[in-house]
Amino acid sequence: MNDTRLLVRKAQSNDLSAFEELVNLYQNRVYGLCIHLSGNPDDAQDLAQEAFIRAYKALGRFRNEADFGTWIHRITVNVWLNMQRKNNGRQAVSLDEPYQSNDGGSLQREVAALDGDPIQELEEKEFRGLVRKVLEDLTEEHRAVLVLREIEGYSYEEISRMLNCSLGTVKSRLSRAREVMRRELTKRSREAGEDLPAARESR
Amino acid sequence: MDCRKAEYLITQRLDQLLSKEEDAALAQHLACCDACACELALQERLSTALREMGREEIKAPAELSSLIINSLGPQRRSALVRLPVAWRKAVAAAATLLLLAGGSAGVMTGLNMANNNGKTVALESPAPNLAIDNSDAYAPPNNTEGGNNASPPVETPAPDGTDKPDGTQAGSPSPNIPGHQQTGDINSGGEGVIPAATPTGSKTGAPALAAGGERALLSDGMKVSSTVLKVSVDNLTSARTRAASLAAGVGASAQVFPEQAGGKAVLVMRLTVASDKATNLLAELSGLGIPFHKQDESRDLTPLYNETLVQYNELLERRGAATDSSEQRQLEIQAASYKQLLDAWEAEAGKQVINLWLENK
Repeated sequence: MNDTRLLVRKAQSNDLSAFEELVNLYQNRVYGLCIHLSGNPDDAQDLAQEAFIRAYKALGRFRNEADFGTWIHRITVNVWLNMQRKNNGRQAVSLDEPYQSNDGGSLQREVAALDGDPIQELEEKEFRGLVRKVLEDLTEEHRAVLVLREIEGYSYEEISRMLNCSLGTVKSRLSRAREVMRRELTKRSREAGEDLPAARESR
Repeated sequence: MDCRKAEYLITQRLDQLLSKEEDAALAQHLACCDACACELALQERLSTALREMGREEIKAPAELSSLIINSLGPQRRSALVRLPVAWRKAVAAAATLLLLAGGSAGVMTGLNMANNNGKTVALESPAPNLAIDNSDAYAPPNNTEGGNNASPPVETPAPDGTDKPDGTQAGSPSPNIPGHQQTGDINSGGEGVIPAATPTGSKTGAPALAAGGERALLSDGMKVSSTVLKVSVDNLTSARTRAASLAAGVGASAQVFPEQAGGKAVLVMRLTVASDKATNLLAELSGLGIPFHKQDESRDLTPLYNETLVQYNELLERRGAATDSSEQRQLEIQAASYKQLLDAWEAEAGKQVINLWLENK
């Protein structure tokens, strides 16, 4: 940690080799986040590169008592969000359409429960593959909160600072992101023809 | 409790944010609501899956840090490294194959194919050396209003080392350096044709370019020595790693281009190394497997560089003028491939390039 601080201080005074050290120290963490956000190695590399470049330019604003890793993750996720908004050509699952009414949600779940949810039959590996796919199709805001919270393990507070939004927004986004994940997982596992007989007694 | 409320509490529970009372209330609801119970089970499973994804060790690509540092370096500010990786891969592979294919003829064919209305450029070459001026990135913005055909004679300081990028600027402190004047010619004239020789003949070098504005036309100094080394190895992946670390050990930069040659997996690595370290590195690389081909070559790329630069500028100009977005993109891709070549040449001038060809035994 002290090493990092020293490196940051050096980098702040335009020592490029110190920054290079920081890149080496943090590139796996940053690239990991990039992979989870962008879903493919090429975009992840572009994103990681851009994030570090932005970080370098913004180094002067970094206060050394903060965690450098969190700080650069924050930059990364924001660079990604901006890129996504700019491109927004991708088809994302709309989050505005589902769950407009209270019973809509419970109705869908009831159906799932009664049928014997095919998703329950998925092997762990298949399940994870499906999770990855669905994650990629979430809207960027929802993917961001889910990735930050679940994959990266940041707290609500940290996420709200990273995304510059209120705690309430983080909570509701996360809750809706999970909802959509669940709904899509169920839907796709059915579409995939996993129509297995109910193997589970109703709880 | 209704399901909506339960759903919210389920999320909270996943994050261990429930109070005891809330937890109890949720448990009560779950006991009599299968749907919500399923929801919780699934959400917990999802949560576990995501957390496991977070525990996977993901390694950044080997070239990431050098790409970042190169694009931050004070001397080089290449726009290429900012291009999307997918484009870069495509143009880089094309460029390497062209270079590997041997000689400028191959490169030129490729370039002319890319450029529909190719124009020819005549350049005077017996002129004083002009250092490759990457530091133009920090020069004041181009004066595109520069007078036509000004090309004033300038005393070039004539440093002959290509490694002295500041040489020219130091010698011409005035912002009115010839290059920028010349820029006016090239861009505002839109001809893409450089006068064959300036009246004084003292110099033909001229930093060019408005849009990407950081390059100079050269009169000399774009000499590249290269060696093609082909080695057959037991294991491509480990040979690649080994080669990359050998290269890194002597401070060489490396690019990797996976290729297919006649159905065979082949890896081409382009290593740029300081000339004095090249011999050793070559020897070490030969030890990766069984070397079966080695060829040294030295070329003066100056004319080629200049022509490419002019065409590149023209592409940029056309891109700027293009109104149709698909045309724009097309031009951008073409420009990117030109830029790739220019960048590669700049990086390699005065150094030794090793085109390492690795194939499985």
